[in-house]
Amino acid sequence: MRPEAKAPERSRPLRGADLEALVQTAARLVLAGRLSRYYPDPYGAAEYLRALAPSARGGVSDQAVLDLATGLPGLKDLVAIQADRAISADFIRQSADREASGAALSQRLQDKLAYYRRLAAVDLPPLTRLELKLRRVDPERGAAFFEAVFDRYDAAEPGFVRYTLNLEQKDRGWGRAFLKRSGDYPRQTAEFRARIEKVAQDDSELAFLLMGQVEGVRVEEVTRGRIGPLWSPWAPAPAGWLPPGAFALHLPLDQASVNLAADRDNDPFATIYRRFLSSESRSLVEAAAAGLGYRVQKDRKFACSAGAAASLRQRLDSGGTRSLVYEAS
Amino acid sequence: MAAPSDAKGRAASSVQGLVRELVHQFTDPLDFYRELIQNSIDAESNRISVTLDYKDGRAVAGVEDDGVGMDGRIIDEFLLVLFRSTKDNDLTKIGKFGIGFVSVFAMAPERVQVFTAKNGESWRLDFPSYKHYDKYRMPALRDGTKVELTKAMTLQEYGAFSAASLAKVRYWCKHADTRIFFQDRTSGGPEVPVNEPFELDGAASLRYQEEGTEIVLGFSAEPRPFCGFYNRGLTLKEGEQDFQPGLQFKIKSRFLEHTLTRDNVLMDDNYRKAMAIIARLADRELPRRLKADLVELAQAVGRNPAAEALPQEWARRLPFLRRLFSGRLSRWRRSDWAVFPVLGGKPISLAQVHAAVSAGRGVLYFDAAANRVTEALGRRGLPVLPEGPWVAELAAWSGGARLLRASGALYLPRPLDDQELGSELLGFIETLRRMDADCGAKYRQLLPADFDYPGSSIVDRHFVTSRAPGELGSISDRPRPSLLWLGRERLCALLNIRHPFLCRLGRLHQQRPGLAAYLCLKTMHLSDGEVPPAQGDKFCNLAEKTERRLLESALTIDCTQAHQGGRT
Repeated sequence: MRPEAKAPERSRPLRGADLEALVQTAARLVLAGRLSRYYPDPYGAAEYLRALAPSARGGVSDQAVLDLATGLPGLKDLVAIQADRAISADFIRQSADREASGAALSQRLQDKLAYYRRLAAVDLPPLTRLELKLRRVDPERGAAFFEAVFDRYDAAEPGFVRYTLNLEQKDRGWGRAFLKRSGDYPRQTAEFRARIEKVAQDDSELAFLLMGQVEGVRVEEVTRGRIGPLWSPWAPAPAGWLPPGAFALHLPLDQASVNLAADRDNDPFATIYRRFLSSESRSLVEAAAAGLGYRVQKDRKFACSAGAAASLRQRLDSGGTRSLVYEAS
Repeated sequence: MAAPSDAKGRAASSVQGLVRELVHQFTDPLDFYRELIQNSIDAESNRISVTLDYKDGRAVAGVEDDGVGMDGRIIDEFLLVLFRSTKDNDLTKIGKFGIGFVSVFAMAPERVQVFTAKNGESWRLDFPSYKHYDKYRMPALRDGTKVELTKAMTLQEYGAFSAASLAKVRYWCKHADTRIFFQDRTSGGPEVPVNEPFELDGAASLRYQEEGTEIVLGFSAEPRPFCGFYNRGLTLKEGEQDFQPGLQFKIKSRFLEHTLTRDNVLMDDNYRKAMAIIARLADRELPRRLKADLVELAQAVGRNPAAEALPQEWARRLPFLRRLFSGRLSRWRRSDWAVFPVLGGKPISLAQVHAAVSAGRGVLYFDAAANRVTEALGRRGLPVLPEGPWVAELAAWSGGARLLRASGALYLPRPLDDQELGSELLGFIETLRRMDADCGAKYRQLLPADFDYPGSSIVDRHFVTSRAPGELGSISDRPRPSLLWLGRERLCALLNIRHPFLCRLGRLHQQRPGLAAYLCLKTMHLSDGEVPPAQGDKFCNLAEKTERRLLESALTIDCTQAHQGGRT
């Protein structure tokens, strides 16, 4: 009988000083990464991470479960922060009533109150958000141009993700409109929401291809920006990439756009989707890409802890990519 | 190090003239901050840094963003081509005209440099003037775009330039959706955030949001209230204008645009739509908010009429309330709004004020603070308003009611029990009572009383009369001539025991009780009204008789006192 193979560890709980170091450093790296709006909101992401710090949580919890593939906390921990935020106003009010009635708050309750007050004061964006904007209307072409921004925290590969899609919809498609508008005001249809959630599962090229199948809709551009993975002492980098104890946050960005002149791959950890396929499949996708008229570029920059940039740059240079590396103080 | 020059450009002479014209259309040389920041926001930046430095007799002003940057194609086809913009008609962008970048030449810099990168290309552009530029491909990639202007100036000029720069950036960008920071590196100061919350002075009363548009509305007492127009937070126009009486607002909308000259908001269809939203909110939503605000304020004023901020807040809402109460019908529709404060009581409505004015025979009472008089009126069911901006308005809205300050128009001394007096004062009061009884008992009762209460209009009087002790008296009641009491209802006399005159008489009473009582009663008679001149002859004799009786009584009392004193 063959001995049962031990499944690789997928996650591990982190608590106390370890969790504190991880989330505070991660928050600093997010803000050091100079992220444009094609990435998830860095300020919101940093607030979520800081809120997980045991020093901030006032005893509500001092643990988070780290996903070892991405080195970031799982969705469940971030949802817990959101839930805390949702109840913060009630907790603050109840505490105020209790104080007004002359009852003293225990130290534990005071710590908890400080946590809820801080949570109520910070700008914490929703973990999942779909925003649709009308960019312009072209009466001559009989078309309207939209920008859709879809944010989510990836449950399967924990990390913040933003998809930005530029879409054109012909007027004739409005009988059974995928995107609706009234004057300058776009309206999200259920079909649109469902479609976005379906296509926003992988990289921008795949999303472009899938969205391009919608009748009456022409896709101009899809961009995916991500925060993560995070290399840390608890989810370490491959050997030789970082000095011991260092942190590095990956900030990948991929884009499929009709405005690109050529494919460009500047991501040391990803390949353009078409190149990944078998020759048979690739020719099918190449044909679709040619029909849709897009090109793809992939980029990845890094934010790392002090003293880690040199070794990271060396490995990146040796791999032949020109990635930006920011070192957080 | 820059790679060998990729391109050198020179603008054609006709274009040079046009650029010169465009450069001069910017009213302020520092307007370039707004233009560059606008470009940075449109480039999807999350953070923009404005920096100043002073080196070797030159100021270096920089605007750097973390946006998407520019590649060679965008530089050649858009940045350096007038009236051509990648943002044509794009409602998600602020810039429209493709002329913003030339604003950097308005302050006549020695040099302008642009550092930017996109799609794996990195560039540096050097503009010695607006007439030509050098373009270099750079080896190192970067995020976003950085524009640097260099201009020779003295250190003193630099100080003024730095202060003006911060003020300018704040004015144009305080409500920007993107985080903007300012740092004067020469002064060694920290990086300061430029952004301010999207609020109104005195806090907004209503906040409205829909896709692409955010509005804050507040009440204003100014004849021309504040209004501000912004696109993604960048100021398009701020000023004072009476769009809606009593209403100040800020509107931030991606649909609003500035004019080509940048000093006004473009009054196009989108502007009209925005103003229609404000008008709708003012008509439908704001009255509810106003009522809620005024009820809350009226309750607070009623509890604490001395708090200065509360009437000011109420007054801030008055022009808008006037608008709602401007016609009889609109007043009637809102006559149940209990928004008017009452001293020590619940706020009342216009309908209740009408009823109170009727019950008060056309009088509407107000006062600075609660006191005996206002409380007595309250017990009679007559509300007394705290002093404030609502008083005059209510008089007008309630059909021209007569306004009277309660404590000025009415008085209410508190009678004291004899036991509350010291023995000296009690002796004096008893002597007065005896002398008054001996001389015909003009007064039904002679009572000591406390005249001192907040707002008291009788604190300087040494006595007042009333039908019964503890009854409200009116200052406007004419005194009853002292000689005409015969055959009439006698009044009670209440003596202000703290009045200096009575205190002195009290001390005299110990030596000369008769004289002290005589002086007191004589003064009371004199103060108690004159005989009408037409009846003077008729009562002249009576006055002398009364005087004689008082004197006789005084003499008797003093002789008795002297006799008793002699015996002891």
